[in-house]
Amino acid sequence: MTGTDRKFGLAELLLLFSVLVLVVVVAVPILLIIWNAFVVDGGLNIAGVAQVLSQPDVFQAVVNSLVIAAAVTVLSTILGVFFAWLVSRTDLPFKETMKLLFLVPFMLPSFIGAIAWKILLSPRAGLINKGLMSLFGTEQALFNIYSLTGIIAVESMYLFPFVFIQVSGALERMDPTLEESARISGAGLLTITRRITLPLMLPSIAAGALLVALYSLAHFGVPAVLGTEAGIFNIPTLIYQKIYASGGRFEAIRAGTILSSILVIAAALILYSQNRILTAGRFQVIAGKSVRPMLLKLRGLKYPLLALSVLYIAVTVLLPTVTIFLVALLRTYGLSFALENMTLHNFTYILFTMKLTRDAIWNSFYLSLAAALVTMLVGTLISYVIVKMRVRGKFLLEFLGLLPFSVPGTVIALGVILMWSGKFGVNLYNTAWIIFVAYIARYMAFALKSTSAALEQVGDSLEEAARACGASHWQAMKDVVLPLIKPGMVAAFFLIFLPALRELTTSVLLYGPTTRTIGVAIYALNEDGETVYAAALSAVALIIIVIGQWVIKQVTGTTKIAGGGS
Amino acid sequence: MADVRLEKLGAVFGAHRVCEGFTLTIRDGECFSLLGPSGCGKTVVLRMIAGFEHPSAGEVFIGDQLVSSAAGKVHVPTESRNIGVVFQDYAVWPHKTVFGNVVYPLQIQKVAAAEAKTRTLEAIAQVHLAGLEDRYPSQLSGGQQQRVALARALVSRPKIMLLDEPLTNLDANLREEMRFEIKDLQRRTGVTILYVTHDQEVALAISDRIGIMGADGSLRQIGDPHAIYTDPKDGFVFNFLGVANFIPVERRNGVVHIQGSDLPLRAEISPAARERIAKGEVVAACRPFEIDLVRDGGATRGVVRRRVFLGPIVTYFITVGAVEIRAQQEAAEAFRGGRPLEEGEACGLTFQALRWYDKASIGKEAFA
Repeated sequence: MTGTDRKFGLAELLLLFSVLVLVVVVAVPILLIIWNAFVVDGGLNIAGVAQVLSQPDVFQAVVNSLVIAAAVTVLSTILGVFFAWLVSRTDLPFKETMKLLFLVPFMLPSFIGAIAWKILLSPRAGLINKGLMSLFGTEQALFNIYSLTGIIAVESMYLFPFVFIQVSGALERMDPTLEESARISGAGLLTITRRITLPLMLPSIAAGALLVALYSLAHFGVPAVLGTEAGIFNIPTLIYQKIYASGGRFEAIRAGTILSSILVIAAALILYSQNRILTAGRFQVIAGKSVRPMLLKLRGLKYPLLALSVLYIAVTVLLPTVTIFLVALLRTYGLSFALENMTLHNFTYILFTMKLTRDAIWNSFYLSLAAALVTMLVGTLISYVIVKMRVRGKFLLEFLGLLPFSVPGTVIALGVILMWSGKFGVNLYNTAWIIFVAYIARYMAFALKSTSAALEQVGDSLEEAARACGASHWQAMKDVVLPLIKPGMVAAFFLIFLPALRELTTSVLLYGPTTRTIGVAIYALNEDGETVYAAALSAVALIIIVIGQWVIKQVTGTTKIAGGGS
Repeated sequence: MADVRLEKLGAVFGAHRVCEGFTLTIRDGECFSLLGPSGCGKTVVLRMIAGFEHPSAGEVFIGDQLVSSAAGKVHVPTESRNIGVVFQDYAVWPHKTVFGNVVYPLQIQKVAAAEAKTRTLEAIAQVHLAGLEDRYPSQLSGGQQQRVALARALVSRPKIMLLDEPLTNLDANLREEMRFEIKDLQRRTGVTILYVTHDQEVALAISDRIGIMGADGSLRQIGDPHAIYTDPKDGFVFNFLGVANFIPVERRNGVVHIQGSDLPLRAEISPAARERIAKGEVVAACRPFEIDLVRDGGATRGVVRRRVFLGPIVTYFITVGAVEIRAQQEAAEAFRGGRPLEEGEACGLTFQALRWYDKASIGKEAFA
């Protein structure tokens, strides 16, 4: 790669543009949050911060976030490691199918899952609770999903794939000679698993667990659906509550910035330790070649464990999905699932009649489309500068490029509110633009990850060969680089488009009277007790997601799961 | 066609000085090899000629045109230099067919479609790939991919061709075949070739002239293959061009001994060399095949420590005094009479020729 000797060439121009985008979209909003949290009237205000943090509701929310995150991390790790081991190190039947099935919870928006579980397990009207109550003839509900336990259980169901993906990947790539040499030394399979395999897997397990922690700590959807009713708040739901209850008063925003700062610091710490663990663990485990590991013979446990896995998928994926679809077909919520109570009216109503949902579907579509397109293109450009260009000052871009990975959705929302509410000359509040800007910040990490991986596959000499053939820099990019990274760009597009389509966390803080998104509409309908409509819109969202996944598979030829962030 | 002139070229990466004051002329129409150990900066020199790297000092001329000048802030971009480049990793575009790869330079030059097609097919035939035009690189072997890269570099009839270790990734048979073809192509087209490699055999086989680079990025010697092989200027060049014995010697009471040996070294030693031996500045150097081995007699005596049978030849590691010397015999000769030299057996060595090199010129690795 070459630039030219001119002081300000193409390389410098692209670098400047990339830096500018990341500064405006990500860095400044975060700085504004931290500034507003800690600085009052030009001075550092630690006492004020302490005062806000000592308010009982704020303190309780921080504790709840920590408790939920810790419990979800432990639970997801146990589930993820167990199932990963089952599909990659045992002779479980139908392993390949099971492996795909364990990734499905990732696709399911967790707040839709939460709505389904609310329908099934709410203390008064939950279908399972009612069934069990009539079975045992009691007045007391057996399960109460409106609880910390409920939130933890539902989040874990949908977050464990983070660990599953990391660990099953590492188990498959692990050099089998490490285990074989232990076996030659006379160790039994259980000893090997305990003494060799597990320690070697620790970095992957830890990396997956930290992802879960990061995600759960800043998670809005599940606590919002299941916690609010019982007065249980975590950091993101309290930020939402405070800002909406106050109608955007400065006190509330300030409390929000302080809570957001906690999230930012926690995220930075988590990502830092993850990075440490991954780089420390890299030296051992991975042998790039295909390997055939020893498989544990499950013998008599083979079919019971298969049954357990299938049951797990049935309960966590099938049951909620079927519930959503059945409720979506009900004439009125509360009727039994008999055929004469079924209708397609809810679907036609939300798709063609109801303004709220029609607007929401349209808003989500064009916002996601525009955000995915712009983020993918800008992300490609930034990745190109980072991966391929030699230009002074690149380290700045490399640092800025890390930021999007560490900023939770709630924080981004608050940041864009501070930045784009007229304080700096541009007021986008209550318009679709503010959601658009927030989506770019929120999904930039996906674009950077996918496109930089694609660019790293393209050897420098391919581009240099084009230059030697007489192609200009632009021609070489157009004729050689772009065609080769197209699959990565398409993947990036869908990895943004699909999650953005059912985004909730960010848009719920940013929507205006005419700019509700699908996620916001589902949430609002559910809050307003319009359960059948909420279910119908959720069903529509699920259908779109499944179609989208199918398209990704067709285009990229691999199974990439678009998830993580609703 | 054109010559290439490098004037006092310098390259710096960060704090690392790759080369300095590098001056060289590659003549119009010749095949010139830059030969040097890995990491010596030979590829950087090629990349500066191609325009992929900026020199930190000096100038590059292609023909009469100044294409790079550190002081004058001149940098003609690669695409305007009219060069062909072949890379070690082929750099064949995986998303284009053989035809698509080779026709690309002509498309860029906006050559009319019919003519482009004729020239492309011609270039493909030149590298013996006729019939494979519609294949994708993934359907080709490594050797075939490298031919595609050659055809692509040739098709636009460049003034110069830059080849960066193009044969390193091929197996031995293919390597031999391809080096004939490169030489042959060069004869037919008359293009100026710069061939960068660390493989002295390829360099000797295809070059009109060779430039040997030291590990420090300096040019140690330039010359035609025969001259450079038979008369290496210093110990480094001698060592780099083939298996070398460096034999430390000492002068005791006016007589030259191999270090640690009681017997005097009987060989022709010029008075000048004697002078330098006395000062302890030089070592003797010879190739294994420049030593005659006999059971009795010989110019000096040693003991066979190890014998390795390699098919056509037999290699011996022989201890003489404190020094281990590598010698070889043709197998037929070694086994004549059915009684080859055995390990542990004493033998005589006669040196056909000894060169004397400064100890400092060799580099430490030669004594390893």
